[in-house]
Amino acid sequence: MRSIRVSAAADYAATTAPGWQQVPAETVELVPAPMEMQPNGFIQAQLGGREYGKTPLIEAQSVHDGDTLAVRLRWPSERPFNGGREGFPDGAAIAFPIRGEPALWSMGTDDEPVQFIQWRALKNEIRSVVAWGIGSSVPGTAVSEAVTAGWSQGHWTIVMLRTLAGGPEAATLVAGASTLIGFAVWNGTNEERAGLKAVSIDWTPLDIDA
Amino acid sequence: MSVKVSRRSFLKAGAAVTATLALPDFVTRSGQPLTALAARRPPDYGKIVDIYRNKWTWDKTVRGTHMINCWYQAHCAFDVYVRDGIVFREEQAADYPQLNPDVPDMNPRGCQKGCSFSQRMYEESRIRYPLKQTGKRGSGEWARVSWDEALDDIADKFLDVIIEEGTDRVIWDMGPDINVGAANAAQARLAQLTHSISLDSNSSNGDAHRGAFETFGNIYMDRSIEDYFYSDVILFWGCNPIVTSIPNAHFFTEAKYNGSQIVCIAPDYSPSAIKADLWVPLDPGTDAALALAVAREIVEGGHVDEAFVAEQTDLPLLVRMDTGKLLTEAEAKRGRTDRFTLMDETRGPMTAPAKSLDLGGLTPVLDVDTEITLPDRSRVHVRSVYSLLKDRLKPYTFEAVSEMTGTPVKVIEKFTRLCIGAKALSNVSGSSMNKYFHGNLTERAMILIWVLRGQMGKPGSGYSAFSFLANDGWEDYVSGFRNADRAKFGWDIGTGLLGKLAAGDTAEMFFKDLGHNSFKDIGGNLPIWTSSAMFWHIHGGVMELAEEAAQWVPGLKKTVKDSVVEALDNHWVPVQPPRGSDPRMMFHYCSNPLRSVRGSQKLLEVLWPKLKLSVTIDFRMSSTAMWSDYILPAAAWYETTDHKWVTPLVPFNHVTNKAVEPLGEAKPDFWIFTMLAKHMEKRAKERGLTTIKSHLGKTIKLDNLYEDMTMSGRFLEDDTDKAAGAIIEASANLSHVSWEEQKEKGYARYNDIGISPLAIGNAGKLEEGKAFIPLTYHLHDKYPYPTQTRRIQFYIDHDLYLEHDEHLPTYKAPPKIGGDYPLMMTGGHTRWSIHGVWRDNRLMNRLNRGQPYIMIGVEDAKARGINDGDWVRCYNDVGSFELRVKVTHAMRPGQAFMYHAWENYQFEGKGEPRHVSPSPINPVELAGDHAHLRVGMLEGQPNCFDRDTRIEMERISGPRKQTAGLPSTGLPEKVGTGLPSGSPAA
Amino acid sequence: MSKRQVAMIIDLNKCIGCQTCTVACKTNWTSGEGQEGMWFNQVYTAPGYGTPKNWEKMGGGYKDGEPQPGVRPAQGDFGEGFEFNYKEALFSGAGNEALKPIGDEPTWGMNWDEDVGAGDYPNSYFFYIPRICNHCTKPACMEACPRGAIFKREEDGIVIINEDHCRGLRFCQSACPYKEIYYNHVTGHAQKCIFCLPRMEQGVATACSRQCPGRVRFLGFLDDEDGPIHKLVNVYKVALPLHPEYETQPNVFYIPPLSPEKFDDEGNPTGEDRIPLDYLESLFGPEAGPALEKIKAERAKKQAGQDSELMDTLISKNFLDLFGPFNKHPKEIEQIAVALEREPVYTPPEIEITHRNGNGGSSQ
Repeated sequence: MRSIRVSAAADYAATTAPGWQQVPAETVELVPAPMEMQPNGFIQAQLGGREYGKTPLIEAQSVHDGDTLAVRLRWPSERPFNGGREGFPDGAAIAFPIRGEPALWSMGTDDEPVQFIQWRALKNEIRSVVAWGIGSSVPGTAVSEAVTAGWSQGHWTIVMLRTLAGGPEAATLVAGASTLIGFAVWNGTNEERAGLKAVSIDWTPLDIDA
Repeated sequence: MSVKVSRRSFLKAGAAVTATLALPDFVTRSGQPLTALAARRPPDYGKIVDIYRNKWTWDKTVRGTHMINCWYQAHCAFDVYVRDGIVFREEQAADYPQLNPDVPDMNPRGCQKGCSFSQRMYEESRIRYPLKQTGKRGSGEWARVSWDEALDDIADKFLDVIIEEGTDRVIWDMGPDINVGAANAAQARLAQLTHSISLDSNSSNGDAHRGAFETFGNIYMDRSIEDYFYSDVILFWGCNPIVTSIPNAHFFTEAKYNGSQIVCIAPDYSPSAIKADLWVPLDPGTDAALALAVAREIVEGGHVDEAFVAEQTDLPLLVRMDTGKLLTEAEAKRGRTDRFTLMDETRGPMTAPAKSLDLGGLTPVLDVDTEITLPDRSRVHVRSVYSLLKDRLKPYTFEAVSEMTGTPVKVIEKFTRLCIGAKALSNVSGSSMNKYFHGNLTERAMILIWVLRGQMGKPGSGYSAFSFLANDGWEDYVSGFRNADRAKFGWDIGTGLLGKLAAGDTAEMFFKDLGHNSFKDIGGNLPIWTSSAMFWHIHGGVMELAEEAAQWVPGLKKTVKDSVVEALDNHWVPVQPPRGSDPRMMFHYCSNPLRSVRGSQKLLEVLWPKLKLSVTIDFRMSSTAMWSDYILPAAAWYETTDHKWVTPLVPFNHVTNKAVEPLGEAKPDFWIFTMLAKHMEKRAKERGLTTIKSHLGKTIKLDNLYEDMTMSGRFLEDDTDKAAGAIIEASANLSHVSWEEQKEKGYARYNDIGISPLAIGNAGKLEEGKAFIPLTYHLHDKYPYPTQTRRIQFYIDHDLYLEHDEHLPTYKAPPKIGGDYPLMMTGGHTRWSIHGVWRDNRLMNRLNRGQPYIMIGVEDAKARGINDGDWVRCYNDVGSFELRVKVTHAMRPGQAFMYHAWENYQFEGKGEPRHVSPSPINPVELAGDHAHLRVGMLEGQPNCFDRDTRIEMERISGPRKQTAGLPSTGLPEKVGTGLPSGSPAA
Repeated sequence: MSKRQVAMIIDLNKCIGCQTCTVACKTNWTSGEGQEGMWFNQVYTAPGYGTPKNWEKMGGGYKDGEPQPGVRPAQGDFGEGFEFNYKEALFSGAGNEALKPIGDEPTWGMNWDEDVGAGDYPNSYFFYIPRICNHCTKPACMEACPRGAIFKREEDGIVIINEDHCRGLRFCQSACPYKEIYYNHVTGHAQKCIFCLPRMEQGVATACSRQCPGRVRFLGFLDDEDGPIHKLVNVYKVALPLHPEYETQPNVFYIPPLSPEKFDDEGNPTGEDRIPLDYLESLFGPEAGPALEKIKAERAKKQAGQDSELMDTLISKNFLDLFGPFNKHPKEIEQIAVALEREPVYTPPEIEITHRNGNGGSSQ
């Protein structure tokens, strides 16, 4: 997919910002994170045959203004849920390799960590985390982040903003260069969290306009 | 491809990762090692332990306890933990010494209520400032007022009442905080200096152990808890110690491991029954029949300890069959009318020894049925009490008693064998039996078992009745330590009493007379006490509920009202103020009559309108405080220093130290009473008042009240600590340990029972290293009992007893109080509160059901279409109340069980459980003008009852959904769309 | 496998169901926000649903070494921490509103079926079971955490959750067959019994042990051959794990309960215990019967005036003998200074008195 150069990414902060009409959308197929990927037998046993990660696809658009990158995500969601007191909230994440080309499914490796920007409907907040492997994610270098989210007509739409600049534990994005982006969606109503999610199995190339 | 992968992964659902073969090919393609699948662990558990270490830090601890009447449990030493000026928790001190190597130590001591008083004292129901009800009573229109404003107004009304209508129109009603320490001494001193009246609440509590009183002339008799370790058979009878004696309970479970057998006699399979070897289920209120079956077997089977009963009891005494009265020395051979006669084996009728129980050379015949010639040559048929008792017991065969109690014959037989075979038979003190209309008969029948077997006064054996132990310096303080030579006697003693000692009366009789004296309405020196049962019945209107008592209680010859009037006219059981003189002002000192009095619905209707002022002194909002004109905020028990009465079970004085400043403007009780005296003196002076005469013609010095109250400045309002110490120093049974030491340690063991009328009846030695056994002064040292015959007395020849066929122990079926309804409502003390004090505490309620409930059995519930948690209406002829139901497997069919002390404000609608218990006074308990049937301290007064109450219950609804005040729990169903705020679709 | 393992024995013959342990634990550790309905220690009446409601039917643990599926208990299953309408009920006029839990009327709570029991009267039966985290030798919670946030300490086998790393995913709640893990919805972390680590590390017995008026609990290291734990578990074999079939190897053991003799159909005493043995076996496994027989035989010795080391151990005349090396008085210890800021003590809010008679509102 492509991140189109615009004059001010801030104009695209709202999920309903008119500018998005002109930005081509990439549809990425999502699949349930494979059972084999679940880190332990208890999670596998608990799930039994229960279906999860059935969100079939996610539409992604992106713009940037040289400093800030905005990503708009839209995916089907029958019933929006913020998790309440005891449940699990709907959520979505985008991933960038911090260096190298680690496998997305394993959430990075010792030498090739992955940055995730996660959104959760609970407090409508995002956080940037860094992972060196499954279950290892911890807060990463803060890149200035923002999010707006809304649900209508059976879809969540959110816009995540981040600076292109990164750090040791956050991917640095460079205008005019290409990187990779990955996607994940959690359906809270179905108690999806952690490895119980719909994921894009492999990276999607992301070309950032000069 | 990826879709294929995911489908395959579903087929493999549940399988653990086994080999690379099982992996989707993109995984292997990525060349990642399998270890990547294992969760990456953080190095360690991080700072979490520090977070918890942090919770376990404090600025200081002090020793404390709880100034509450938790009776058998009393008391427990705690370390009170303070952080940032707040008591955030408490933990048992748990450093009591072991009495001796035979027995367990008593650590840690302390129940869940004591372990969470810190949560209780800061509860939202805490009273923090003086409050005045500015709307009508019960309106809840409260204004915060200053102490000066409140005390001036109360002082003025106090003065108005005693000037216009008399000092006996001001009533002090003391609740469970009565401590026989400084706080309570200040109240008593103010009452004495103003000759106002204090209620003895024991009778309306239904704790008066009337049967023990009739038999021993005394109700105070209990052992120290370690003594159970010497029992081989322990009876839980009329008690539920696993619930009501939590700190002591381990002695029972440990004694069981040590080989003791425990028998629990109760209608329901109670929490105490589960610890028993044998549970004897029976219909509620039929216990006397069971006891008499055992007594019969002891007599018929030849198991009577004849030497014991000949020396210690009235069984050998002779009764005139023509009058039914005991044969006096005066009748038998000219002499005293207060000496009685027995039949000596060789010398015929002889006067029973009176100054000692020692028989000297006499050999009394037990079974006497003969004619004797009196000095006037007349012949009279006499029988010994033993002979009459034998006949009285005849009907109580196992089969007949099985009919009366609903207990299978084999169970009664087994129970009887255990009682008779016991080497050391004990019971556990409890008050349930007193709360039955015929509880006096039940207790007399129970006592027969111990006495006929001579099971008294040995380690591990003996009957326990009323449990109480107090310092004996308290009365000195109340009296102002006046007159050194009488300092120990404290009160203003009539010289006639001193004379009695010379006449061979014991100190016990002497001090009991002091108690009696403080109730007398005529010829008394100091009637500052009155029977609460009589007060509520006459001035509170409760008696009106008992108009139908004749229908409920078979064989009543008079209405309850006529019986009460007769007792008043004869000055048997006086009441203050006298009938016809209305009380005008009441101080509810942590008392809560609107909750606690059986038939309390009459109080608001009859008593409250008579009151010019109702003042509640408490640290929490009570059902009664809601209807008071003032609430004065008392300091909680960690906010002041004082000490507290206990029981022989744990014969240690317990001290609480001030850990933190009182919350808001709360003040120690001692301060409140002393300052009230100060304001009364001030207002008296301002109004030009000097002295008035009390209702007894004694002079009350109004313009010198504060001066008198403080003993000329010796104990000012802020001197709680000093006053508490002075009481200890004046106590012969506690002064061996300094007050400072007691404060530091939190407790000190009594070295003697002492001479307080509240303890002397225990009549035994408190020795180092030995378990305490009551009544040994009588049983070993042969001092006579404070009864008519100076012996353990089963034959009561008072006319009322003869008239009601209660001159000997007998069984009378429980009356149908409240009307003929199928369920008998029993009850008892709860785990979750001491009286009402923890009922409004959220922590205790979270461990309970959060609301009042009544328990019934599975079958009774089914028959009424009631499910667990349903709402029901319970009703009878006199009242009704609504609450939820707990259906249990433990209840006896026909039994409904209501734990006590829920506050009225916890019930929906008007009614509460006290409203169905009219509690008619049992006429025989009005007996007076008798050698030992006389009103005294906590004893000899008519009881209030509730256990015989009959009710029916009907289902109202299932659990109710809340209509208002939804909590913000964020539960999914309450989240609505679950949308984050500010999102377009929200 | 830890180097050493602390263990606890709970004597059900001594337990009186007073919940003092529950309260002691509460005031020590869980008076914070989000912990209103949280009980690291609970006591329930057995037979009964227990807490969380029906926990024995919620799965988790292992079978033949294989992880078993489990249900994640909801707060409602544990029972809510009721909040009350104090102002409306107590300070707004008598009879205005009854004091009661806010919200829908409770239909469950931690101790909801207290003293309900089972059996047809007069063969009713029940007893009390206190429970805490079993600090298992093979903790299912630890294996179930995808973030590896749960630890079993080398030095004493205490199982601890690293709340910094915990993301509130709650797989541990489903995996624990004893359902002893709670979710704090305010902090978003899983929380559970810490075996009073700050006390134990200083030689002070756990709050639930030292504050137990029934003297129900024994403490010590499993391998301490002189301690009561080793004697009761390994020598006399009267202390048994709860639900050994869950295969997590709990380190809390129970002395099974004696009970009053049962009545036959005519209501005559039979001499047999009224608690059905098969019920006790369902809780404590096949060793329940032999353990009870052992206890009865040793008690009979005492009744015959003979000595019994087992009975003396169960009695423990000296309170401190219950706790092995953890017998220090809290006042003897040095408070450990930690870097963290001390959290403020929670006290309930002050109720505002608004009275409708001039003078405006005044605070009470």
